[in-house]
Amino acid sequence: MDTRKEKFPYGIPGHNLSEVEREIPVEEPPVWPINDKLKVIGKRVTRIDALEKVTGKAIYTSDIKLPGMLYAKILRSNVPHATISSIDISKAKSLPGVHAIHLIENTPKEGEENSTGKYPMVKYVGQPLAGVAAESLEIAKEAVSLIKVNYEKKPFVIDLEAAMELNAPIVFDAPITKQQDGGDVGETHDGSKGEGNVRGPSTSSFFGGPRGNLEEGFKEADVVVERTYRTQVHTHMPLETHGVVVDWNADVMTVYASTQNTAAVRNEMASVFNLPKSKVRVICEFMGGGFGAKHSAGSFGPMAANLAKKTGRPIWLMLDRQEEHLAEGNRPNSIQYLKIGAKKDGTLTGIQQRSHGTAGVGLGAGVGRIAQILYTCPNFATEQYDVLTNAGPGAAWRAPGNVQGAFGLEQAIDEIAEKLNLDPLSYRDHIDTSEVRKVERQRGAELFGWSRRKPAGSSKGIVKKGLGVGQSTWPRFVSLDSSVEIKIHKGGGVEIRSSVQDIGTGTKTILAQVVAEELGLQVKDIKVNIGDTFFPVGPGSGGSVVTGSITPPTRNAAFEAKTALLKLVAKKWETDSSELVMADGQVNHKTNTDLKMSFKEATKLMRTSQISKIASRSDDYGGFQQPWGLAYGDLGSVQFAEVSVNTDTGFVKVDRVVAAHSCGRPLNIGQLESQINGGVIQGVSYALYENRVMDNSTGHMMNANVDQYKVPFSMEIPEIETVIVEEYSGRSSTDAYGIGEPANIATAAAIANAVYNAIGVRLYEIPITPSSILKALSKVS
Amino acid sequence: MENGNSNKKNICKFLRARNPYGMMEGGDNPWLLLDDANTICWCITSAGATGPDNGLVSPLHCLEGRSCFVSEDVGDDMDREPPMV
Repeated sequence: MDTRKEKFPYGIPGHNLSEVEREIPVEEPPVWPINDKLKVIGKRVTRIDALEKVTGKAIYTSDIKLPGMLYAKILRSNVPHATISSIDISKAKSLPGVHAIHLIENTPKEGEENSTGKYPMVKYVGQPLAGVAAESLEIAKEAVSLIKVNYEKKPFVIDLEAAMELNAPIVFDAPITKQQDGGDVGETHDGSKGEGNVRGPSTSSFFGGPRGNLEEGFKEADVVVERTYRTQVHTHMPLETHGVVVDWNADVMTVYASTQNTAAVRNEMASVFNLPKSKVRVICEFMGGGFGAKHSAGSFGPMAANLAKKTGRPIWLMLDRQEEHLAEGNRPNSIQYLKIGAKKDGTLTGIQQRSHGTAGVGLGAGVGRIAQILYTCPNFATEQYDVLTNAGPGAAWRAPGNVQGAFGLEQAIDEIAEKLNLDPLSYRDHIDTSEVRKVERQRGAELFGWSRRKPAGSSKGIVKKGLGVGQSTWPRFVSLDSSVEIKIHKGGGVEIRSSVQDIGTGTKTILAQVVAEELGLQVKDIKVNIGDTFFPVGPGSGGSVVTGSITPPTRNAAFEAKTALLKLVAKKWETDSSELVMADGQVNHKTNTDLKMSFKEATKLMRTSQISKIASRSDDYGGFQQPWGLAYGDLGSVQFAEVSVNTDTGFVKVDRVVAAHSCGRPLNIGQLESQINGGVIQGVSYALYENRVMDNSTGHMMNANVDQYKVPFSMEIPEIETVIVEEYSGRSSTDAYGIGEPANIATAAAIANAVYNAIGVRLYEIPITPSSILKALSKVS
Repeated sequence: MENGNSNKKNICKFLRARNPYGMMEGGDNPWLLLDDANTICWCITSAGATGPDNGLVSPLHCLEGRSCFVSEDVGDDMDREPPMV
């Protein structure tokens, strides 16, 4: 085998750091030491695009202006369930400035009668029906308002529990009578059959299915907690909405997209329009945020392309905030039943979970794996049900399912600890086998001042203080379809190329750091060109996969390019390239101090104008847990929250959060802190504010804006302090992983536990509002 | 969840799924169904969670026999119906 053995740092510095031997591909670079001994990696490096962003020079998708460009607007349904008998576009078509109208129509197959009607059935308010391209956005909007749609309305259901009723309107006409495998269609939590809208259950994940015997587990238990938790629908609110600019000419379709996944958008557009992938180019240079809903071309991508095809002109199609709320994804709600049993010594004996949630007209409303894997328990079972409703489809949302699941699990664990008369943090030491979370608990508790915590409800005065903790786990996922090109130009320039996008997290900067470290250069010497599918394919920004997927090939390609350059220098010096090193912008001989040359001089030895090397992600050293890219280890976190609860008004203020996290080898401390801050703020928002409010009588979202859909203002954002625990496992050439998901999972649970500690009454539903606090305190009915 | 023993082969090539760990394309993809309690599915022909036949989009339903099904074996160079959107 073309491998060699190397010893890697293993464990946590200051705790249990040791070494582990790994067999690695022979072409990959030698092991990096821990961060203390590196010059660029693990340091607080300023974002390389910071100046462009803060000065407004950065060009986002909505900023794109092309010659002859038209503006498009989508017509959306304003009823929740209907068939469409006709669409009259005559008035819109005759409006001056309108260039094209594209209707979404069913396409019968040859020889088949079109039994589904000319137009798609309407299933939710906000469903796209048509698009208009015009000379200005204002004209396009006016034209949309002139299109008359004749609906034949059908019964609909919006509310989760109402949709589970036997006589509820059916969202999809074809009744769901049984699973393909012959299994049950599912039961509602009260035992009645949920024929029609209830789907499930999901009983397993890639960590396996049920284990042990729950009945026996609960028999062994000395204490049992049995609760039902509720979480709300949480819509996506990135600063930049979904959208594209499509420029389709004879040679290539160029799509400027606000996307988390340039490659996926490219692939989708190629499939939809029957084009070779080589003739679709997707570009995302700057991105205004995405939290799971921006992985596809959506309906707006093909709509813009159809309008471009009809008009022969570039099409700008960005959604507005209302469209974003209605149709571009949300975190599904949940009703979670959780039963946990433990022995007197705290050992968990059984965890039973049953959940129902709605992702509107879609699936995917489960509550994740967190109850299955966070704590050691021999007896476990879960049943997770989807409930279909006439509402906009769900979408992946920063740690899909796990945020909902953590809200229930971490409160229940606190309740078990209380029944056992144990401190909840100490109790987690007993039941959590993760070494990294143990260190996070220790270091986080010290910074937070956990020892200040008093018994629940013992805080005096009207404004009561409380402290709480929540934990999380997130798998280390790796996308093997991750490649990078490194170019060293004659004269000294270094360039990174990949289709991987930077969604605002700082991917460009960490790639520059990796290459700078490998080549002994400074970050400013590296030009990063990413977010373009004409470059080697990179991963989508989801599942916290980017850092773990794209930094190893980046380092590997840089190492190969460096090796090629060193061979040229070695030839000139008549020595072996293995005797040479690059550091501080120079090429040096390891032992002969007379032999040195600047990096720039070295590149002048090149016979070609550039050295170009492309590397891809290899398997993890030592293999994967699952062959498709589930790495060993996890991205554990422990978050501590301090709250003030005004018992007269019911207002909750999160005063402070200490977030202790790990992500393997940290690459850029400042950017990690920034992402953790963002995750915590979203967690605060989820716990206290954001909530999609639907009118069950019309099917409309009542707060589809940024005024009534409440997110925290600056004064509502707590002081956030981070603890980043270095953890080495020697699994790749960078040994680094992402932080996106973990930063968001535990926050709401920690806040809920802190609220309980403040007022002595536990709340089982989020958002926690002044109203729910006053109800919990029996101050209002 | 669409659990367990469902046929993981012959999934429509126009199904797309987003799992917590990444984007999945349709077709004969052995890991598409893993952990689908959190999998969001959509059809790129209809560009939504509802298929061209107004039915639900999911790995369990986007199979051979459905009127809108397109096999992974159908190459991109073959004639097929234009997209809905």
